[in-house]
Amino acid sequence: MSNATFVVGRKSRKHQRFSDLNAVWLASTGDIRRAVPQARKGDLWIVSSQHYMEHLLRAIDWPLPKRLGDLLVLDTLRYAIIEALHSVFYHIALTDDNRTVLPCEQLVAVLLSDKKRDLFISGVIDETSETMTLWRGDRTSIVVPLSAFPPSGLGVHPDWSRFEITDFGQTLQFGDYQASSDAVLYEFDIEYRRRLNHARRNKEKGLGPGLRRLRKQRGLRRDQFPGLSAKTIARIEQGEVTRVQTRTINILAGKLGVPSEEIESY
Amino acid sequence: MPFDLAIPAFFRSQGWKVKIRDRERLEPPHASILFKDKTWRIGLRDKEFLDSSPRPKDVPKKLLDYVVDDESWNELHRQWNLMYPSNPLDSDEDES
Repeated sequence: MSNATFVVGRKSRKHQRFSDLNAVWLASTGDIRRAVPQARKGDLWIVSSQHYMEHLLRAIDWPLPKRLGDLLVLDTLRYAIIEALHSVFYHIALTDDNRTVLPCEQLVAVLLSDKKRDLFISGVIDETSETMTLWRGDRTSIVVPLSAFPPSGLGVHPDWSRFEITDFGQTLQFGDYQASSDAVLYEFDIEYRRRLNHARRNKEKGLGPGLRRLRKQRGLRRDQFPGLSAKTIARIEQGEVTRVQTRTINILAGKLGVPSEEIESY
Repeated sequence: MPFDLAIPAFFRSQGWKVKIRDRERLEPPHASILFKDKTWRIGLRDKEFLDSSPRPKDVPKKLLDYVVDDESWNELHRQWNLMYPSNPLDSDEDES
């Protein structure tokens, strides 16, 4: 039995593509009360506005015997409501406003995609803590520091106030600056990195290829590892050193900012 | 600012894009061919697809021919070097 999608709100032209998800539209208290007993883990609830979010919570008979599934909110929510939502839903995907969630047509395509775990659907940025939370098509989240988006070589800086998700969840846009979702997941989701590298590692086993990729990712030259010569690093990367000393690995890991056992996974 | 290769209108209208974004996985240098929820990474050093999935043969041949055509290819090289000066295509280090 496949998972159900419930859309809380009135059917509108803007959101008509949710019908492609075989969505059940819930506009009234009665609709919501009839849907709640049918809901189960894996179902998706899409709520179009703060107004309908409050409507949903009022319609529930508390305490709930079980959570209803996952939630995607297409509007900015009041902070005070968040904890109540955590008692109703497993995963909660939020947005700052309409721009930080994928447009409806692309959102539906991602939710139907077999690679939805690798595509972002919404996100919020907190400049005070210098973090960004991104939600994927499977509604799981990942937290990324804003420092992950350095200026490009052309001097383009991200403009956090102009955050959008585009290209079916494959691109994060911050004004004139674009980042690939792949690059973000590769750096901050070890499961994603391991999955992608599984086949490649079979071909390119060992510390060297991982060290080279990670060093490039960090924008470091081989001569920027105090205590190690550039020649030594080149030999490791090219697989010419079969047994790398623990001290060397610790220097590499320290400079690269990762646990020593993770270098190979990059 | 990302580099968005000007591809023929026919492919653009279908939703195809060829880009180098400001933040990409750096190694190895590549351009991204995007269509809906899929991305194909093509290596800028050897014109080889970097990943087996999605299937490289799903990229239309005429689009691929356009991307690897000298004029497009040289521009992609130039843009990569401008955007990622710490990992240029022709670095001595990478030829070792």
